[in-house]
Amino acid sequence: MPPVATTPSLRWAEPVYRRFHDLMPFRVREVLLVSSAYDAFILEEDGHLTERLFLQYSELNLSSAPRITHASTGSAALDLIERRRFDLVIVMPRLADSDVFAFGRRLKERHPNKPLVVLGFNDAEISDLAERGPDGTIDGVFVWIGDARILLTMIKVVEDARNAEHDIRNADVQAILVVEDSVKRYSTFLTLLYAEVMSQSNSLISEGLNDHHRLMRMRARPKILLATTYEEARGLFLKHRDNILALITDVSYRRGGQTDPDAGFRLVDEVLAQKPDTAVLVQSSTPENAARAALRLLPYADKGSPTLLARIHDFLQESLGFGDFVFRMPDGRVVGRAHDMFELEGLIATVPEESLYFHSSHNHFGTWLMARSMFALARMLLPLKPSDFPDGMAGLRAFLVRSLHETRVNEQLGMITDFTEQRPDFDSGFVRVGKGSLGGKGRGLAFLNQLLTRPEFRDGALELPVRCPPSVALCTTEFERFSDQNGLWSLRLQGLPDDELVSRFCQARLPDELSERLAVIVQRLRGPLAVRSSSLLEDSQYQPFAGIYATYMLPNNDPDPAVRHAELCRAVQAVYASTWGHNARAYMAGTPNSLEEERMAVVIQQVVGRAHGQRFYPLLSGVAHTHNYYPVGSQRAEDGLALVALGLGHTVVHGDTAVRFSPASPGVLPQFTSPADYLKFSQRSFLAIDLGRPRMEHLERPEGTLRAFDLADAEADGTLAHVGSVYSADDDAIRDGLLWPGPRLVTFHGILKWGSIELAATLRRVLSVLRQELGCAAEIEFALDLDDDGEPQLYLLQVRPSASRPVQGFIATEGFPPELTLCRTDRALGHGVLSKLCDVVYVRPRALDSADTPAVAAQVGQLNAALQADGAGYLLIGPGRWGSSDPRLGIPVDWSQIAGARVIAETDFPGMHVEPSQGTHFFQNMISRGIGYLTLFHSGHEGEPDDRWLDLDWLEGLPALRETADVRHVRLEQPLLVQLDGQSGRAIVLKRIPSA
Amino acid sequence: MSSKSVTQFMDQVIAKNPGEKEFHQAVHEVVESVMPIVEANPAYRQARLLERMVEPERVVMFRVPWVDDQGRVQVNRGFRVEMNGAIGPYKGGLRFHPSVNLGIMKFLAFEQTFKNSLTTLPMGGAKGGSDFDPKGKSDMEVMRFCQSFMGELFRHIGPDTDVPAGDIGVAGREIGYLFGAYRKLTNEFTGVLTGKGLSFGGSLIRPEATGFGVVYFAEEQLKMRGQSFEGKTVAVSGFGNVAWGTVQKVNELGGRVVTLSGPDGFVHDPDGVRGEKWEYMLSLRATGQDVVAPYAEKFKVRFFAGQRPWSVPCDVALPCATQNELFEDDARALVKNGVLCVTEGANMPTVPEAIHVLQSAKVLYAPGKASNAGGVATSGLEMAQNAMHLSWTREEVDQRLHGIMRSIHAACVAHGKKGDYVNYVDGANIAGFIKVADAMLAQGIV
Repeated sequence: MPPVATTPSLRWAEPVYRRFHDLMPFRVREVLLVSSAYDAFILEEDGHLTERLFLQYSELNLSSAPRITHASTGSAALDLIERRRFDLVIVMPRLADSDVFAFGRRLKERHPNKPLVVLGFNDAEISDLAERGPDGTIDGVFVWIGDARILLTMIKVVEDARNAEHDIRNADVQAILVVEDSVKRYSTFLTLLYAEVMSQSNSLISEGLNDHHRLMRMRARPKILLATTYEEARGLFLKHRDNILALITDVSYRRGGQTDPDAGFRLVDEVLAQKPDTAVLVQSSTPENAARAALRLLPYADKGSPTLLARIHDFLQESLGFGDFVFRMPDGRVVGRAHDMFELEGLIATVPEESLYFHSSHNHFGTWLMARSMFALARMLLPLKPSDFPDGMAGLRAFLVRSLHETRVNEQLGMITDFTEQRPDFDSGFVRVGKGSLGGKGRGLAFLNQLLTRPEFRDGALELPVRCPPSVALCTTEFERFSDQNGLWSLRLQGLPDDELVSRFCQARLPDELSERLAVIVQRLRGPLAVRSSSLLEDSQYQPFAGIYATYMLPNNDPDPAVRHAELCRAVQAVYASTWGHNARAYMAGTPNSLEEERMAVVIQQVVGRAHGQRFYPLLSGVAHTHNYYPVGSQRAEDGLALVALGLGHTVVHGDTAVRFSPASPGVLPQFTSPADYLKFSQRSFLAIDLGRPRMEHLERPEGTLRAFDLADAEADGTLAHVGSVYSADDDAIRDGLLWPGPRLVTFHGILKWGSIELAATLRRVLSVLRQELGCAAEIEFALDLDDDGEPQLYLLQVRPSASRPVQGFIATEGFPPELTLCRTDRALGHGVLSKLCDVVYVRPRALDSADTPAVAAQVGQLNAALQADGAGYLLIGPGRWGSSDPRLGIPVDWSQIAGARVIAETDFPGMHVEPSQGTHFFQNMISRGIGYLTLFHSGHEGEPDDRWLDLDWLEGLPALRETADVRHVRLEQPLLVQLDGQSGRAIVLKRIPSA
Repeated sequence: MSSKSVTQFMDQVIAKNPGEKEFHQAVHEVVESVMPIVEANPAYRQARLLERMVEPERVVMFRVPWVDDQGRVQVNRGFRVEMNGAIGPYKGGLRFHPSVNLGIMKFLAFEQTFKNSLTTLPMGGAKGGSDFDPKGKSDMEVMRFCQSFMGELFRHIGPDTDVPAGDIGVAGREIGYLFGAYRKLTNEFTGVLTGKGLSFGGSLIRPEATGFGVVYFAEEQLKMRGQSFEGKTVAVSGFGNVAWGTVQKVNELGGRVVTLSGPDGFVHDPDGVRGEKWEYMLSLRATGQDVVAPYAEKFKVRFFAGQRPWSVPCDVALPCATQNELFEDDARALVKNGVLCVTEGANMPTVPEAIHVLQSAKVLYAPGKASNAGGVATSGLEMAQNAMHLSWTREEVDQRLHGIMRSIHAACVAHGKKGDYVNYVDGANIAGFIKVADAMLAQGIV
């Protein structure tokens, strides 16, 4: 037996519960009951057949009960079968126009696979059938026991017989083999057994993680296989040996064509010889057999006993692992009781060694787990003994705990599990509190969790392991309940200042149930927490709302749990308040939605990172987009774009010092061309959660716990070594790593250029999957940190569709008449539609000398300042490179001189060909502000046609609002329509918005 | 001066070099200054020195094919304009930029000839480069390009022939790749490029050299007035490498720098930028921060947002920031406050109107082409170290730099002094020209 160290991880071994979806492919939904009218009447009167069947299915949480159709003659039945689909035909012996065999033959001639079962009222009616045995015509014979449950039994016997092989092969489902030749006995016994198995399974599924999980678990219940002869039983055992959980056998039945009074014991001997851990129950109505069973130390049941049901119940509980796991000492003393796997894991870690030894050496853990459909784990534990471990019991104990934990974590992967106080563990996955919607962020996170269960995301499949941090979503009903309880709805439209809104919400009282759950959550989710908005309308397609609502970062490190609880409650209330805050109101005004529609869910997410003294932060955070609307050089738009920064991701979202790269070519960093660019534009500080802030103070504003730290702190923490470089002034060069003296820079060269962490390749694969699965451009937030062994792990924090297309669904850049077109190009950067620009600033078309361009820059700056004072954005048109430091190459403006431009267009520089402005700082500013950029001059490459056009004459013909020697500012009566299609790189500017 | 001579000469230049506007402009500026000397010296006229000076000794234009990361073949054009080698091996930078063309190379090479001559070091004039754009290229792509570029250039350069350096688009990384390629091709370790890394032949104090040179030059200017830096109040603009070296050297010489500036404005620290404050500025400078407001906040001095420092009374003004940062009204303020000298650390920070004001007031004004030659001079010192197979200490390099700046100053004075005033502009132009002219004359018609 392999030692612990080499035992394969169970992370992906346990059949994911979704596989259970394919179990029981054959299900009886339509039953045709063929009987005389009289027999049908008896069944209905006696048994209230339909009603009882419905009730049984409901009580056992089974899917909808089958429908029963009645045919009173064989010919009518056959006729009906031709016209409708039936899954099971039950025929009673007394047919007016046929006998059962003839009916069966005629049925099987036409429908050889349709199951046919005979139900007799008494033994006499079916004695012939029993004598005759199975001949391929009749699939089963049962006797009415005065109880409509027999119908459920017949249905389940047929389903189990049909499904057993499939379910065993595909999901390792277990089976109970029942051997009994008396029709009446097995009709009764199976009814009891099914009732007990289904009831036990039903109680186990209360441990399910959510409704779907529970339903799927039911399908994996043990199947019951019926045999009436020794040979039949032996055949079934040999066929499904590894999955036979238990053998329940009569003692006397046919063997070799004759009745053998010891057939049952022979069978038991053979079964136990091949599979000693099979649970066995011998039942008989012959008292002597009880002693014989006792001699063999076999459990025994008296068939005639009034307590037979109780005996079956006990047998299932003790031998098949149903019910609680009771930890006992060898002398029988109870030392613990585990209701579910979570409790089992906890008790295994603490029970006395003697108890642990006792149960493991008797395979009790494996049996118990089998009953809960934990087949792979059970199989792994079944053959293990303490002697298999070098450090004996300690090793076994550690192995059991680890295996249970891993399986439990694995099972939760990809699922939205319902929060319960009984199982408040959040080792993985996504937990939901309440009902209603998860909101935009919540949906995205749940989707990510589910996505990560796919084979392409499994450990080893990607360059880096990809995870989602544990998260809890408070659904929108919690918000509604909170607002209802405190009468807060009236605040919705009052337009209160944000601080007053927060104050009112924080003074309100959270519903007790929610408050209690938050107390549990804050205990279980250790370490800093991000409390984020997840509004109903947020992150929906086309409606990003990103950054509109609040996020609170909690250190969650106060030694007093009451304080941590209070902080979490306060943060939740503050996030709720932001639903109707200033930003939300302003943003909503620009969308088709109304504030009244908005509802708020909250996502509480464990912050990725680790503590370095009083600082908590990840090695890096970033965002990645599946589409790059500003590809530079050899970058392709479809390869996407990523931005990364040291520390928390607020640097990326709010600032412009993040490092940008295309995952397909991470070694190319267009924003840094020279050492001076690195010095000027790279990150110089990083954000972390300050773990030393006083209580509650940080909740005065979102992100109040964040503090900027120096790179020297990151170097002391050891994090800078992974992402930093050094500027060598003597060599005017960047040295990667921190071995040299000199100013430290955040360059990510080690990761991006030298591949020390395979971030780019992993992001590339993740983005590729997301693009496909979302069906549109998308963006993700992520963080990366090193685990305790120093191995990198990538965490996906959020996903949302990119707001890259307007509601209309596409951006038109062609098909407009030339007279309506101010300019168009097939080389544009950026994406979107602008329909409110009324101002155009352009450099008048004349031959410019390099000596003139600085003066032109000053004039442009002058007009820009005037427009900024007006609060108006504008279209800027001019020659050569904008922002070029070389006056010969264009207009040497600095950013402040054109900061008001919303779209920049470059035309020809008379007498000189230049490349478009893809310089560093200037282009960087343009990208980070989402400014549209149009190249309007021709490439000049022979044989390369382009579609670029500018109607400057039209502008020249308009009156100027302001004018200098070389630059004009015109203000249009009607706004321009600017359409940039980042997908195709085309853009068009129309002189006015066309009428529909 | 014969403007007709200048015009006639320029007509010939334009006709022979059509469309090269930058070259025309550069030639015009030099010719305008030196034409009187040429006309006064028949040997220069007879030897047709000007006509020869404006014609490059050699132009090499070559194909540079390379393969990008996607496996696609790219083709760029390479240039090396060896303008004038009369006073020493050709010397000048390499520029990788899409704007590079023959006209720009010739204009830069022409200017470089006289700039190098002014350093008094034996360095001719050249310039080279390619229309390759390093922006958006990976390290490997840049390396492949450099190797292909050097694959042709190596035939035309050498420590005693032509010694390129860096320029726009050619920094330490590119110099390293170029040098590696050269070494591979020639199997020689020589000082064929300057701007090399310290680990393979580069010189110390290169970043500070320009700033040191500015102060050394200004020191010589002060000596003209019987003064020194000791106890002087100095206004410095800028905050980059040049300003940093300037502040350091002023402090060493006993002066007190009371202003520093950035794009955000300037700070006025009457106690001087020294000690802890200099270290603070050093750390800010080292991170590339071009803002000075944090200094004011930390040391509780006044910050003047959006203003230039020239209104602060000072003895010496050292503009080290950027082009066009000292205007006419600034010059008037400086003159009014009794400035002794204005010495440029940046390239053309003083606008022509301000120069006129300074010169009219007999303020000693030194143009950048003379006073900021410290960087170029250090390139020459790197060549010297490589030739000797030695690496000098910082002090040794600094000492030699000091000597060079004194020589440059002396040359400017020799040719620019009229009465008790030195017109450094004329002095620089003439000094640079004459050395080249005399060398050309001596070497016959080649």
